[in-house]
Amino acid sequence: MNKLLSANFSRLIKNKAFLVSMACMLVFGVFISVKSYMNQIQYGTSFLVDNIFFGYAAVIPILCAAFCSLFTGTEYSDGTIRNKIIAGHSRASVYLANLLTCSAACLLMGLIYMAAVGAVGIPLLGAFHVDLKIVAVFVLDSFAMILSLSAVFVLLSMLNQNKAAVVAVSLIAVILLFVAASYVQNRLSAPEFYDGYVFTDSAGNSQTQSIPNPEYLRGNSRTIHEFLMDFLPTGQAIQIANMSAPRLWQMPMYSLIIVAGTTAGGLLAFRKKDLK
Amino acid sequence: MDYVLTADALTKQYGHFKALDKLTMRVPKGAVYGLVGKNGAGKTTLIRLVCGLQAPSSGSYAIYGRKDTDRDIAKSRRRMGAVVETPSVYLDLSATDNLKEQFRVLGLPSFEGIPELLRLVGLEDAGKKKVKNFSLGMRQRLGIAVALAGDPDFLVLDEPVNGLDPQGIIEIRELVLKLNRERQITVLISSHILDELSRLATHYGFIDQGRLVREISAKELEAACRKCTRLTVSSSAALVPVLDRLGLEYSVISDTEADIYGEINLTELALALAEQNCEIKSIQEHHESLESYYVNLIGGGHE
Repeated sequence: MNKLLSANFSRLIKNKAFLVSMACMLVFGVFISVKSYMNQIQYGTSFLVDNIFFGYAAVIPILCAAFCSLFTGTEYSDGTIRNKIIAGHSRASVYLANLLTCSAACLLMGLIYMAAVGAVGIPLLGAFHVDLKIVAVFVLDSFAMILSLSAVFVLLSMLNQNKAAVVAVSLIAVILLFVAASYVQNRLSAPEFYDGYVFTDSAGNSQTQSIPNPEYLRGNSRTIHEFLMDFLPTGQAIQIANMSAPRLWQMPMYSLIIVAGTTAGGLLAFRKKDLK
Repeated sequence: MDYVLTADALTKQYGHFKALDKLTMRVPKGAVYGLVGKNGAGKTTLIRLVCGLQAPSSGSYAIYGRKDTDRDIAKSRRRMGAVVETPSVYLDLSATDNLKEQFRVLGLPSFEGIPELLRLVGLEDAGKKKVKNFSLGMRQRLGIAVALAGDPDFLVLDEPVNGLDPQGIIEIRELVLKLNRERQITVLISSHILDELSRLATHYGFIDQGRLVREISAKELEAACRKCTRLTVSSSAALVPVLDRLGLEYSVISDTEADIYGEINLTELALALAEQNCEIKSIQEHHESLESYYVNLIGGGHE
């Protein structure tokens, strides 16, 4: 598999989709840092680096979908996947080499954003206000999320030989996942009580009384929604981008389950796939 | 005889459709084996199976004596190169970069062989040009260069001259002959351009509806093909009674043309036609072509 990885990484460093994605993340990191600093001066309010350091998590799923499908889809559209099989490489090696390359590429996109915010944002906005251990756990969570996204999109790309179709399917899938995660987040963020107003005396003084919110999720329903928010890579993305994740340690576990499940399924299906 | 590729009752089924139906074949070492068949006959399916891109539904094949079910089949595959349908090259890379990619895939330690490969396929001046700007013929030649990167003993080419202009066809033909004669590379080449194949092949496999109808060497084919003399006269109607009287086997092509089989005494024929006031316009010797052999064979059903 080392031979395949060597070939893949050599192609990666010349790949337009990768270079453009890296450039976008770099510019995004610098832009958001400078913009936060300018807002701080303009409005006189404090903008923390904590608020922007994981901003890339909201963007990376889309980039990851586009990049994985383009990079892997090219193997089918240009027919070069045949060269690897004919050269005697096993199907598993071809699949895993593509997965590792795409995962590394997407991690690099995240890293370059963090490097940009670290290099520009921290000098302008100051250091983190939260404990660095928490930051480290969020970094770990975001990397695990990227790995799970890569695994999902490599699976889609390796099992569909039509590059245009796989790009479209991947982008639609990521949008649907974001819609699903946003819906779950909205349901979870519904307050438990409304503020109701009850007049209690003849002088007309009002007293506030809390009324239970029927939209508030309770019991099993809440547990399922919380699970979905932590399990869906896009749910993780929203939590990481906002740096507010109540179950920090569950998320990477779920990501690893997604990586293991999709890779095992992908390997099985790809082994039996008729290639053209 | 040593065989590079053998297939026994090889079958490939897609749903209810049998693309290959118990196909049996032998590709001898050192041969240019022409796989002849119309579109949809099963040529590309056979090549996909041999290249490991698809698995047989039943039956088996062996490359250099290793069966497809053998765990070491990859070792035999490393001795082969292939261009299946379209050239397998990255369009956004240059010719040199494509070869570097294939060298890495093969784990070759250096890129020293790349200029020689580009020279071999006539792309020495196009090494830095991106493949998306190549003509179809150039892409085809680069595809062959990529297939040759591992210095294979066995080259599989699927319709390599499809869509090429006459110059491109000649270049590919000369390249294949050069590889076979100078490097002793065994070539399995599929085509439905029979005239082109007849200039290359030392052996033929005729495939129809997923079955190998006949396997024959070029020498055997030549012996099987009958010689004939094509006569152009002023009137076939006058020619026919003369040919009947002389006891010659013939077939009338048009009002003025007929093919006469076997040896003929030209003086006797000319005198007999003169008596009938039938004028001879031209006489040409003809051999039955690969094309007519193929048409007769496929029309004659399966073995």
